Amino acid sequence: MKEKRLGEILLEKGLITREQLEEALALQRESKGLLGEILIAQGFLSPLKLYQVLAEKEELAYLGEELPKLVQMVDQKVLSFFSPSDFVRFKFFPLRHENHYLEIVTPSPQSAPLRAFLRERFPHAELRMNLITPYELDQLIATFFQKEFLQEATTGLFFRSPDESAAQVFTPFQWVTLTGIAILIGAGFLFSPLLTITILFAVLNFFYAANVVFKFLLSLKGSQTEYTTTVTEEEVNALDPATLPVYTILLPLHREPLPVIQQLLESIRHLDYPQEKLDVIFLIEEDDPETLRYCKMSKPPYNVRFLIVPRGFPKTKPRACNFGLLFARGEFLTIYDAEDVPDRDQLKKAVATFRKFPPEFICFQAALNFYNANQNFLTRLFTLEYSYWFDYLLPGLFTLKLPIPLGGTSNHFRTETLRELGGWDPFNVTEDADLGMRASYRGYRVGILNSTTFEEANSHLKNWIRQRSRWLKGYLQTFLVHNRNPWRIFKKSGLRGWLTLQLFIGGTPLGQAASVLMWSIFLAWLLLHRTLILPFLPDHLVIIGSFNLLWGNFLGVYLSMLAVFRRNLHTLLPFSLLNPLYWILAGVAAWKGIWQLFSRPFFWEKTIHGLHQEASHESKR
Amino acid sequence: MNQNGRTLLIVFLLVCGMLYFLFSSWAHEEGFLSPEAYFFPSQVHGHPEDSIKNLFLAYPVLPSAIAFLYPSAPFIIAGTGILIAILSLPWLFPAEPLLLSLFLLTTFASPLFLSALCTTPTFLLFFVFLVSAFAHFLRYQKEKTPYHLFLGGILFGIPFLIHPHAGWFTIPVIVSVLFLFPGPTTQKLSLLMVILFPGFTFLGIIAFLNWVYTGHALSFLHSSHSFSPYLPSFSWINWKYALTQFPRWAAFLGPLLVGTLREKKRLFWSAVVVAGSTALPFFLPLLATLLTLGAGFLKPRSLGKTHRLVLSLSLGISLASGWILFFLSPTQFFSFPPYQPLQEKLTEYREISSLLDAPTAVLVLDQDSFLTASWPGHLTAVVPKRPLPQTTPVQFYEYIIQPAENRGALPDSQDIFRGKKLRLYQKEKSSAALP
Repeated sequence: MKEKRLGEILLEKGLITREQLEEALALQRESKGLLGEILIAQGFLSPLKLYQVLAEKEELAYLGEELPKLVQMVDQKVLSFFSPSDFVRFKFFPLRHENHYLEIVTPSPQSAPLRAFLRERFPHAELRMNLITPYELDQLIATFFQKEFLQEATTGLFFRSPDESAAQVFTPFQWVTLTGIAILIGAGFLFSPLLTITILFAVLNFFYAANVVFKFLLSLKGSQTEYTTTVTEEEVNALDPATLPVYTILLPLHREPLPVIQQLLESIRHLDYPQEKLDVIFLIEEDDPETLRYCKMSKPPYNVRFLIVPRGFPKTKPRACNFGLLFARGEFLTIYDAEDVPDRDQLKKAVATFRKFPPEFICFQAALNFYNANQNFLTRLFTLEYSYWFDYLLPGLFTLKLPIPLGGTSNHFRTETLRELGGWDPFNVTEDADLGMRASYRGYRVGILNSTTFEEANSHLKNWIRQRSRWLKGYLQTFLVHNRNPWRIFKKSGLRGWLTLQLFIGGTPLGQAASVLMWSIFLAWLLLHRTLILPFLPDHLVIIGSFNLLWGNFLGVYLSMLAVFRRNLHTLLPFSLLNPLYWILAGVAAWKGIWQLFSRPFFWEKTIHGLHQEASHESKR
Repeated sequence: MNQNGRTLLIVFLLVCGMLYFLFSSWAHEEGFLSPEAYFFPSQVHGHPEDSIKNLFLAYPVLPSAIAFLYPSAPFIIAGTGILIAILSLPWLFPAEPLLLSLFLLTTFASPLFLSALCTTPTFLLFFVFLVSAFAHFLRYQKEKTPYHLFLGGILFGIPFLIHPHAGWFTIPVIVSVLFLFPGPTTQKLSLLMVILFPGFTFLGIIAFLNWVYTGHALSFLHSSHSFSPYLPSFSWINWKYALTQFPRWAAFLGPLLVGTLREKKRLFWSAVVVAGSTALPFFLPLLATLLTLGAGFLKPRSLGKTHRLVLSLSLGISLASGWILFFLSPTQFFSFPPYQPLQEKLTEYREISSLLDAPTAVLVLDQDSFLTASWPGHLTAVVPKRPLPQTTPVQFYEYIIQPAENRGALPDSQDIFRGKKLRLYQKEKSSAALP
């Protein structure tokens, strides 16, 4: 049996057809992957069947059939010789260790790194190997180490680096400062209301103007190249498929409808990357059996793993991602949302980019855009905003070597460095933005990947406000976390890095909140014919404020107009004139975010996906 | 640009700034500065609240904003010059270092440029913005980089903050985009919207603020706080004046225009070099700058030794001949645009000015702050919007000017000049208490 080739055995047993074998062999010639993994990834064969045949061929025992029995077999003393991460990294699980032998289960008995690792730990022990599928290995690890993994996912960052965790929203110093400012303002109103209003109005205007100017300069820089081309087509084509590493895709899912999951699987199948080198992890919350059911119904290929994230607090996407990170096997890792449709060659581009740039670049952010731009008013303006943000602002930050707050998905990491950074902060509701800033302040760099992931633009106002308020709250959390020691940030990243934190991270939510106030003052001033406002505010200050507001809105609209040119979305251009209305909505969301920062800082306002599919079904009916 | 390049640029701009300031201070002393240069600082005199209102409600906004930094006529000229240099520099950087240095000297240190700056600062600024905007549009058309469209739109919009006639220039823009730019109609319309949006928004903001404050959206064009009423309706239709001005404007606008043409054939420039070397000395700076810039925009190092030598010599000669001509006859470098209404309005003020021959404390009791600009050396304060007779301020000045229509009596004052529009009073010495 040992001499026979795997393909022949599978053919003889009638487990695959000749066409399937030939297709798999063709893929193998290209990617130099393992035939068994290719057959599994292509969905031609179930892992169970494969491992049963492999056990027969290699004359090893397959122990995965009855997992409870296997659990009973584990001698817990042997576990103390290892760290739980070793099991994920080298893909094995120890069963027992006696004087002269070490018995393990593994899906990769031929793995050289595994053998080297075990030889180093147990130089004199004979290795006894048994087979198990990767899925059963995960279950085994989770059975024994779920608590530790969950603790690591939830409080790992907090215990290792409390200064960088948003678990504590305000530090005592920040509380004292905030209270001090509140007292000062209160006293000001009591003793000199006119002066206080004047100062507050001036500060508001200064902050608003600084934010506008900063974004203007970023956009100017970001628009200088046609696209921030980090990698060319030629460089991607020059990649040897045999050298492509395993790539982990984390997919945090929560209450996702069936069509969204089907679309997601289609997107993954469509990726131009050897499927057997894709380590796809669906992260499903324990209290969400419906999504799990839909996932199973969709019959994903066998390179997709389901990880059930146990109940716990805070119930956030970063917590689920941290849990998934502990199980990730890829050299590189990315995250997609359930409704994402990435460019077909995005992973290859990311690999080429990682190889091209020095190791200090730990992450590359792909651009995000929408596939339902023309659904309604909200989606049109959202598309303009995203086009501006990802095509101009982030490239501007990149070109100027400033910290880049990551976007929600399609950020590609070096997995080991991500672990070293402590993963995502589960207490921060824009964990991605926080991670980008944390990486920069620790001396790493974040780059821009010239590839796009298309998402679903939020088309319902309530849903949009929920999503936006979470983002803005998260930006405030990030602002507060990294401002615990502003001097340290200043020393590490210089004035420009420090300004990015103040004007970009702090300026975005506060600027949007300020714009609502400024519009209110402006409209009151107009409608009330200045009679009520004038006694409180000096005339010239109101003029400056009005000019500031109008100029700021002009620049915003203008930048939004330019957003259409990179993607030829010319039909959206007239809608950019309506942006001030959109910003008022953003201002409402900003105030909601500010309120929640005090009342429910860790509450994750879930964005409902699949609304565009509902809308298209309805329109068809 | 590397660190050294940035340092050099800053040094260059500082040197330019100093040169412009010194030159405009000299022109101020000699009476060669445009009345505009005195008008803008006068906007900023007086109560800060009024100054800020003037800035946003009057016209033109941009030069007044420069005055806001420091209200002095020479400073306005120097500031305008620096702004022009900054706008022009991006077009010059691909040039070869030696030629670039000579070119910079020839353009920005030439007496032609300096005199044009002193006599027509806002027109110069206006056209430099326009030319830069067109250059960016052409670059966008060629490279499709949104940056050029982005900047081009803003640069095309800013002239609307300098001169109301900027609107005329939208016509060729619309025609060019619709008929000369390739692409589908939606794309052309998008381009037009982006190009025209800034200018019309700037105008809209000013008109809106005017409407809110004065009740008339277009009051900024006619208000006494605006320079617009004094401007000729459109200077360029005055051919005589335009022709006299052409060499001076062209001397530095030309290079910018040429900059947009880039990558022209070497032979063409060689031919122009020969033509340039035989040109009249007065036009040498213009031709030399055009040549140098054109040559500079060829690929660096693509010029032969002889070619570089001829260009360098021609630049050197033009710079030297320009200054020699200037020292021989400075007046021929200064010719003012026909600010006819302004000249008439200033007649009485000039007469008053001749009576006030030494720095003296003067109080101007008039809302038209421009009228105070004729004697910046004498002016110590302006108290606008105050009805006559005043109480305290009046007592502290030696001389008081008031509009002739004000009939209020000024205590302890002697009427020493009576014009149709203005009257000048001198305080009786016993009651004057200088501050």
